[in-house]
Amino acid sequence: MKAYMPLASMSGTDDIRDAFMCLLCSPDLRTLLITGPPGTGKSAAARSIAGFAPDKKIIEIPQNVTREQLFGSVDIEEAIKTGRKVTADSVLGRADGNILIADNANLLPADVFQPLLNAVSDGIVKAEIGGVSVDSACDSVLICTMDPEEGGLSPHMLDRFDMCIVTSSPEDEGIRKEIIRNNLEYERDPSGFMAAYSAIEAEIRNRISDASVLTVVVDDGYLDLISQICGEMFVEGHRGDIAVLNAACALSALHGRKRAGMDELKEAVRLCLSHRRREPPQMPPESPPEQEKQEEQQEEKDEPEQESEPPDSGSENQERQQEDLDDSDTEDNGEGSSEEKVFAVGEEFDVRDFIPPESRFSRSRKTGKRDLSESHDNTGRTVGDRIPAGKVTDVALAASIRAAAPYQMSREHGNLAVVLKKDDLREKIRVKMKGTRLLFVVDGSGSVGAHERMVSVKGAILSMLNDAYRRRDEVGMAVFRNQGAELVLPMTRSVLTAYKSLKELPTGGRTPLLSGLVLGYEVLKREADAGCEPVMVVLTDGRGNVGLEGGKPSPEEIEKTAEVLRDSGIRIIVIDTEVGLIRFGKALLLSRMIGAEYLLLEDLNAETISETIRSAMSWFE
Amino acid sequence: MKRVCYPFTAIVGQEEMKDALILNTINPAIGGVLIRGEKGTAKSTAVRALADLLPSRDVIEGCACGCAWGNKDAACPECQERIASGTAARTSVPMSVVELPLSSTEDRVAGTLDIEHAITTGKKKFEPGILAKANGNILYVDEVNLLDDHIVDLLLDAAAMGVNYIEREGVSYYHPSKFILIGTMNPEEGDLRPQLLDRFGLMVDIRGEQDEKKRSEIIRRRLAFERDPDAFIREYEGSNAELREKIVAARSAVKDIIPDDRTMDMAVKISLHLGVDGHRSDLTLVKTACAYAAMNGRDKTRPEDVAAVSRLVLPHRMRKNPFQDSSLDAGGLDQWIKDTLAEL
Repeated sequence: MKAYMPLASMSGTDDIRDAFMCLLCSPDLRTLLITGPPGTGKSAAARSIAGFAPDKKIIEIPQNVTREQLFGSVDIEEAIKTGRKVTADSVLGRADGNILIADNANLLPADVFQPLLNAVSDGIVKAEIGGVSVDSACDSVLICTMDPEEGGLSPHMLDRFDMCIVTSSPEDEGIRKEIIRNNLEYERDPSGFMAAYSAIEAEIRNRISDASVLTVVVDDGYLDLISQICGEMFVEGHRGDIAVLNAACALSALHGRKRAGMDELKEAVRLCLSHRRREPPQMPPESPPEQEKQEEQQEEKDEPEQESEPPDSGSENQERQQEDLDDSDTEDNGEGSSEEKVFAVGEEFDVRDFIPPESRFSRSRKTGKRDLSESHDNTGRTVGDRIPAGKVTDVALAASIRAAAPYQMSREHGNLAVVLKKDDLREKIRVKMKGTRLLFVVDGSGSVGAHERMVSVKGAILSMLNDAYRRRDEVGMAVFRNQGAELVLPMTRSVLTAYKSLKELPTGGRTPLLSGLVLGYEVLKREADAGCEPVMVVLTDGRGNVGLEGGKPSPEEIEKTAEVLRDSGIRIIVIDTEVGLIRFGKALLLSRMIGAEYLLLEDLNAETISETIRSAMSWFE
Repeated sequence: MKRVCYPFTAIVGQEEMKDALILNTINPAIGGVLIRGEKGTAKSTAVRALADLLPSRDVIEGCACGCAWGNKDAACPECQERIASGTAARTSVPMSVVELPLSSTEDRVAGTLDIEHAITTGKKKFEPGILAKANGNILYVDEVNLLDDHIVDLLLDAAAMGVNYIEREGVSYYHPSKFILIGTMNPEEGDLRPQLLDRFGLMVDIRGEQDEKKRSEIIRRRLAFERDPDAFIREYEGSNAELREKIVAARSAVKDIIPDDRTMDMAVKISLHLGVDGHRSDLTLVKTACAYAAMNGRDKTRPEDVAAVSRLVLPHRMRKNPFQDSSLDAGGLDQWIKDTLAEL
């Protein structure tokens, strides 16, 4: 058996232990997600389940597992020998009665991850793949780990996990020293270290085998209580309720109870609902769970130059009045001072997917793979194979051999065991990062500078940058103000550089909107020519007042620019930064003219209610 | 023909990089080095020279993934069979530097079905990839920040588990893949994901030598090496041998070093002080401190060892989000270290 670090030697893992016991004693709990920052022992904890079930095999799911390997396709050895199509040894086939572990599950391709979760939850593998049908039992448990920093899972995928545990690193010096000591000791002498915990593990195994989960009695009132709790936590769907019930029964059975208990219910709620809990609708977002809150505070502390807090409602009113005054005073549409100012970066938030999905592959957007699309130039990662439509240029050799294998008995061989014919040839299906090139075109004029609006605008850009980082987009930034537009950040993958440019982004002066759009067009056109997907994010109130030649913008040049942008193939998103009671709605007009999508700055925030509902619906389409 | 290699001890300057490399050879569990800096700063020369300097390893003969001799549990399935049937034989191979080129495909990195074998015999066989070759050796990734994401994910998994699991093309296989990961990057060309950053045990920032005398010495030695490599290598044979002996002695000594409580105190305090997430920094601080003590001929660690290696262990673990520059406030930290050492 492979060495593993016993769970009992890791501090703060009681919840994981209980979750493991639930998985092993209850037939209705099969999936567990362990999530947390890097280096908090997620992977090690997952493997320690071996000590609770030494009779089961641990099956690792590597990052590059293919769909075929997961389900099994034609076994070439058998097919060559007998001419029969038999399913080869597959990952899910081997998983029956055993334990599956997938690290970094959020990075697995969606066409692997989803069927994997389905097969384990349903206990059945059903697929048609490479000319064989697979239909077999898959009585297995699945433990996934992930680092949410690398891209979260959608609520829909999270909901498929019966239980979820968040790991963190303890602040206590004593505990941290203990962790070091244990790790060093384990590395020095794994078997000796494991032996020290064998008695604890034996006891846990006894508790698991003694637990009689299916005979635990559940009162009607208990069920009502579960529904009530789920309702109060705004849990969507019924998977949460069912998981809580199953976990409460399992825990009660593990504690030797005949009837489902209250303490067990509390723990079941903790194990099963942390990842399903939602913010209440119709109300401002409530304070997040304790741990996240601490993290947020930490982040805030670390955020450089976070001087300006978002204004409270009182001062906002005041500002709005000022804005009205400004607008009536000057024909220049609230162009504040032409004096140059650099505003702080506002508060960061989770952005909604501001680039609406277009392709099927966009469905996997949450995994940081928004722009994975099929590649036809023989580059990129192979995800499968198919019968070619015309001439084959990118032969999938192994797949071709699989296709040919069943016919070998009737073919002339010579010295070879496998003879390929033209019909056997398969070609590779490859996908590649399309590479979104995101250019922020920022209105740096005085009007955006007024009333600290720029602070929120910068906060929004920071949030989008963070999103871009998770998706590995390349970003650039241009600003238009005073007499022209300037590319302050050429396209880069370094978000750190982008952040520095953002911090230093100046504000003040008039609004040469057209120049900004033209510059954005020029930059992104080059990217589009290089085969990347260009997206222009224009942050403005739309009140342009300087034309391309300096003076007032002429209707002709406005129309000309709009036409060029409409026909450019560049996706443009106008984010309206206008504030105030009286709004001119110029940004909306602009977006229509140039064929752009339109969003209010506030709509970007993923936590706003309307968006929560919209995104939830899109997952159930 | 044996490829001639520039002697390690002839490299001028770049002391931090050399220290980081040597510490990793004393205890490979430290987790490799990330070298950040400009081109032409002797990075790959140093890595190759180091491999050349190290003593040979004992492996199981005929194993494609270089399974280490005398560790049955960690051996690949084929070697387990060899051991079980008594056909395993010991052989000695020099340490090598395995390169992972940026253009590598997934199949080449992880390994896949041996097509030739399948066609000629009709049997499935695993064809080992770069991760197999890297086992027990140095895996060198130039410009690691430009590597494709899905290749990075493979690297991460192997580095974390020390095992490469393959589930592809009808082949289900695993083999040990423990290597010293050495990556280089130019930060201006793009970031490294924090997940990968955190997996590198140590990091050094290097730049070209500024000192004029040293610069001319670099050129002088390079010219001498190119003119007559054999003579040049002979010149440094003595110092190279001395360093080799030191490393070999430290390697065996480090196994018996059990860090004392104060060392661990120091490691934990410094991580907490800097707000570094996760246990990896604590562990790497202590492991590197042990290697440092061994290198200096001691059989006990001191809190000062942690202080000495912290500049290698911590800089890349500092940032909390991708927008923070990963830099240490060196002056402030030094003072803090002094105060804390006094406390301990």
